[in-house]
Amino acid sequence: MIQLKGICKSYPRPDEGPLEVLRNIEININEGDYIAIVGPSGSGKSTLMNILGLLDHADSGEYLMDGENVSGLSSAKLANLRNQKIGFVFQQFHLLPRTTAIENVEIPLVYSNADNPEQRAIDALKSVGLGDRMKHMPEELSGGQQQRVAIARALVTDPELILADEPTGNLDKASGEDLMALLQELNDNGRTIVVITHDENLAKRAKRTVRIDDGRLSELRDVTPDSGVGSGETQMGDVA
Amino acid sequence: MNTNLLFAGSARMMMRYKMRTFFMAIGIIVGVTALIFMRAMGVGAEQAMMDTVNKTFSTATINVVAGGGHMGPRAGGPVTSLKVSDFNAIENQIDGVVMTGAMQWFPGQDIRYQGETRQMSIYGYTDQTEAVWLRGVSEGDYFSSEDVESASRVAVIGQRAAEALFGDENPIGKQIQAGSVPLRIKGVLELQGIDTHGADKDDEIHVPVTTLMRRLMNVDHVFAGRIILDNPDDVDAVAEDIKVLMRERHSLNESEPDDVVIITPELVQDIVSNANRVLGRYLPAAAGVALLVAAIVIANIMLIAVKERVPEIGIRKAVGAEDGQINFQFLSETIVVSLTSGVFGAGIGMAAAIVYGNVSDVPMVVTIGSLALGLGAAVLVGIFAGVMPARQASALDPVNALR
Ligand SMILES: Nc1ncnc2c1ncn2[C@@H]1O[C@H](COP(=O)(O)OP(=O)(O)O)[C@@H](O)[C@H]1O
Ligand SMILES: [Mg+2]
Repeated sequence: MIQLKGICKSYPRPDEGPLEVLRNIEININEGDYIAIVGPSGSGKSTLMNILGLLDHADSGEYLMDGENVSGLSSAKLANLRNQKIGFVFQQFHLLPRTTAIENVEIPLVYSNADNPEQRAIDALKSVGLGDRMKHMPEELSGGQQQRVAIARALVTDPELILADEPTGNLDKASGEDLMALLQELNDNGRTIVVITHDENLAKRAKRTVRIDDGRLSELRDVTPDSGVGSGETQMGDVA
Repeated sequence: MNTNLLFAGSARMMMRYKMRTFFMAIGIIVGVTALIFMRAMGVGAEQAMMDTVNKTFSTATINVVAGGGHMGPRAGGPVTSLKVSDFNAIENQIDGVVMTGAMQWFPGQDIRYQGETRQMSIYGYTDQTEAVWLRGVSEGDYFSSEDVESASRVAVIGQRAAEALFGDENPIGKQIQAGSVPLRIKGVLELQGIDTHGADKDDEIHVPVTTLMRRLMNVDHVFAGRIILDNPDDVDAVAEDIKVLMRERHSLNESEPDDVVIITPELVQDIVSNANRVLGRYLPAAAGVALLVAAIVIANIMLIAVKERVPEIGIRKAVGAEDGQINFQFLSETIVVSLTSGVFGAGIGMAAAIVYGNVSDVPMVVTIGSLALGLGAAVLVGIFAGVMPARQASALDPVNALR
């Protein structure tokens, strides 16, 4: 589904040379994958996620989505691809304040041509177990519930890929467990998931774990049936 | 894009951030209210003046005023060449002329009755005043053609003047004194009110034009006269004939300018409506300033709102909003607030104008054009105020916005 080849990204720094955040990243993301990205803070995980999610551009390298190179696409076309193919989940939830759960979930549908947006939003909320909280404001929901609303929003356009950047980072242990179960369920239903995490448990649930260290990516573990990479338990290193 | 959903979302944001919306709205409401109100005043004044003009100056009428080049008698010094006989000549020699009436004017004269003295204008007219100048008497009689021929010492008097001099007494048959000349009151003039020059037409007296010239002013010329035509379509042709005839009768050679001014209905309406257009534009200009201030306030509130809404913009872009769609959303939010405020402002301004028109005697006229102008101004303010914030919002980098 997605192939990254030789992706590099750096930020200029005033007094030193550029800060190389991603160095020569190579990864294939296949349909039905469930990939955990681990690595120390500041190692470039979110940067990679933003590039994967078409929110950010690599400086060099190739990004193929369904075989198409995205580097030449207009920003409007990229926006359409985000709308149709990708769902984001953030650590800070990023729900609109003073806006009900159902209205939050409807937002991606503003930018699509899907009919019956309200019914789709209701279905998405029901699928994350919030059928009884649809008229609640984010302020009236627990952290776990807010993150479920965010997942419903990510799902409402029925994208192939869910990108989650430390989705349990702001949740207590129990809510985190629930959320992990929900991601698992989505993957079981065939959705491709890439999740950044500091959480060892969450990483273990994934079929593949990759690690970023100082901008370099290495495949740690792959328990996907008939994958080429060596499978099995690997130490999680210094991941907190 | 699902615009219904977008507008519903925008409407919700405006309802939820009531203070912000309120401050954006209030400037436009005040500005549009002022605009509609002031235009109602301007249009009302223009229509009132036009009514007066039309009442006293029908479309089949030409006025001839002594004086060269410019309007009014003062330009180029007093002109003494215009005579009653000129009007008789116009009546007899020019096709399409039904009748004429010469007029002389003696402003600011002391009129005495017993102990009372009052300063007023004395007008000299012919017996044709009712037909030519469209003003008759409400009591008694106007002077007759014999009165004009023999320069009788008679007068008719305006109602305010009569009240001032005679109080409750019946003025008819009373003898007043203009200078050393005694005048017997034959009748009381119809009420007419204030004319377009601001003169009170009910505070004047009329005497036969011959009486005024010979006995009071000691001149043989008149100030002006009016010509009534058969057919309004002849106005331009007759005006040209009058010009030629006057030059001939006054023996003007080619190098000399005209010594009379010929005033057609069109000219009068142009002058009146020009005078009012100045008023009608100057007043709304003040409202325009209010709207400009509103635009600046709104632009600033929107810029602050864009800053507050950075995460929202980031989310919208992440879930698939194109830059142009973000731009559209922010611009349309400003325009919707502006237009809605404009509708309120137009309603309030219209109501205020109608109420004020009823409780005062200031004529107030709200036209569809004024309402359209108010709403158009509101939308313009919205566009003016919304463009920059919307552009800023759409240019935000989603990665930074979401950090
Ligand atoms: N816009 C930016 N400008 C400069 N430096 C940046 C920018 N975004 C990220 N960085 C730097 O890039 C590095 C990687 O950041 P990030 O991808 O967020 O790491 P992680 O998500 O793994 O914690 C960090 O050192 C961060 O400070
Ligand atoms: Mg991060």
